[in-house]
Amino acid sequence: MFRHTIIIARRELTEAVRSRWVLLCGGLFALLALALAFVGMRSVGLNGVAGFSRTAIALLNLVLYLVPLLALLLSISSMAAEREEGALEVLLAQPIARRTVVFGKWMGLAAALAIALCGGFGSAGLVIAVAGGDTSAGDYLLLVVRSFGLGLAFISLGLWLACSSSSRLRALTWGLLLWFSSVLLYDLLVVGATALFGGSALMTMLGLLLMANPVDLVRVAALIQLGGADSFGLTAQALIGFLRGLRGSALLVLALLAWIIVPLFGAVRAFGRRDFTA
Amino acid sequence: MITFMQISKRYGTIRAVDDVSLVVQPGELLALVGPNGAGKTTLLRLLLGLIAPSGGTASVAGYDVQHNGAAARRQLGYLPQRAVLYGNLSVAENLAFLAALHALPLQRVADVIALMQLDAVAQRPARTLSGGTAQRLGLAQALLADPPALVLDEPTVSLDPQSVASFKQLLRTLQGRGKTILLSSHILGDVQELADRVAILHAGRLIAIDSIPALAQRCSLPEQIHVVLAAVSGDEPELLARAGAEAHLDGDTLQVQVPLARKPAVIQALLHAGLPIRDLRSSSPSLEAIFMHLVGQAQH
Repeated sequence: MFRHTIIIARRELTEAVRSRWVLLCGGLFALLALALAFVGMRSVGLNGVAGFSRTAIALLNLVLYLVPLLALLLSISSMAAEREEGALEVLLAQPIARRTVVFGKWMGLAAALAIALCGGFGSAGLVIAVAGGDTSAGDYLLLVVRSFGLGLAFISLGLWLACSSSSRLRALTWGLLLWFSSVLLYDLLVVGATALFGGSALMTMLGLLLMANPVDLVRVAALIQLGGADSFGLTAQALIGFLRGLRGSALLVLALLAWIIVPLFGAVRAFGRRDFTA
Repeated sequence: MITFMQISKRYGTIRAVDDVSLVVQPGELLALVGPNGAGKTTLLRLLLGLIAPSGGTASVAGYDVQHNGAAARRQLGYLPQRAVLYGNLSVAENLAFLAALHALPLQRVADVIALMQLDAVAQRPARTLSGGTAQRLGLAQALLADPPALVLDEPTVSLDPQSVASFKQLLRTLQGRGKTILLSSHILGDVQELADRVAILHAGRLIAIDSIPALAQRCSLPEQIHVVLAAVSGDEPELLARAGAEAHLDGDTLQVQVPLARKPAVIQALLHAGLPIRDLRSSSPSLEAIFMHLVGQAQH
């Protein structure tokens, strides 16, 4: 089974590279990182390139918007297009288990995303290192790793949507709704919760809401590490105090892993049960 | 080799396939024919495990498709209506991908490329192939693992006449090599040429399955006798009417329609009448006539 998974993953990666998706995304990430590195210094009245930490903070919000959207579009298009164009029909007529198709696609898409992120942010990182002389790239690297984790979660979610929906259009509609809800709408929900609850109930509620959205998970984890969480209110400070510790960090990682694994198995289950009609 | 046992597929209240049982013998070419929506493609998809049955079973070489799907599919090569696998990959890459899934050596890819005369397009992206060449790639995919049975869904529907002719020749070669072939088609002329037996589906049900001569006999459809005359008097149709045959003149050819049971008597009458016969040949009822007759019966 694992051999089949690897073969399908390799094919998926080849298709992603040939379709120039990887190149476009990598270019976009590089462009954004470099633009923010240069603009970051201009905004404080200086010429040159901002360091890695400053660039990472500036990039965070863009990453939180872009990576989930790209991962959703990539995974939904890949699965739904293959179904609608008939390739999946031929693939499933081979002596392979259906779950290997989902796992293989997931691995291939993950590799494509990794190349786009590493290629894009990596090339921008080289320019920052050479032009700014900054060698402390830890914050910047962690941002890339977190972006990848976030991308994996949304690839799993995208595959689940594609495997559960009857058409590409329907899957894309659900995907865009999911992106809008998790990236934009969710924060309004959190603000609403803070108005309704107080004290320890609010802290519990914030903790639960944080775990329930992979975008917020990555945002909070990044802000804690980059020192941007210091401007939060008292309750949020208490929560962040807990998350800063080893147990809190482990909880954040486990929650993100759950966001990667649970939707992936949801996709495997939906794919295994569906009828592939013309 | 291929067995459907009381298989059904329902979508809500619609019965796409309804209690169909049939067996395709090893080395046989069985054609599934039927009007659009008769359930031909659904039956093939049930066999490939692409859809789950609502009842009944399908098996290949004794392997149940639902419970031992991979083993069953290992016995099958599949050519769908849309044959191209991955458009961005070249012909050779598409085949190499499938070869890897089947753990076949790359030499097998080269062999199949040569067999299907795809050498000239081997490095071209599959999406750039013409209909006929894409169909050859599809058949190359189906033949790659050299399975004992082939499942072909409307294989000639998008081909030009020349490609159809070479495709039919290839099928005859495969038949000669002992491949079991289950073919779905609504091009009845092709089916009449190729099939050992025909299964006629209507509204999801199997209404007839047999060889074409046996189906013709079952339908009691008249045979056609074409008599080419050296000279025509005009009285010939009346003469044959007395012998119990319906006839009309078409230029110098007397077209006679005769029930199979009365054929010897009509030929005797023709010979005894002293007509100046230049040529005489008879043809069995066409599959189209049989099909229309049986589907018409099923509709009533």
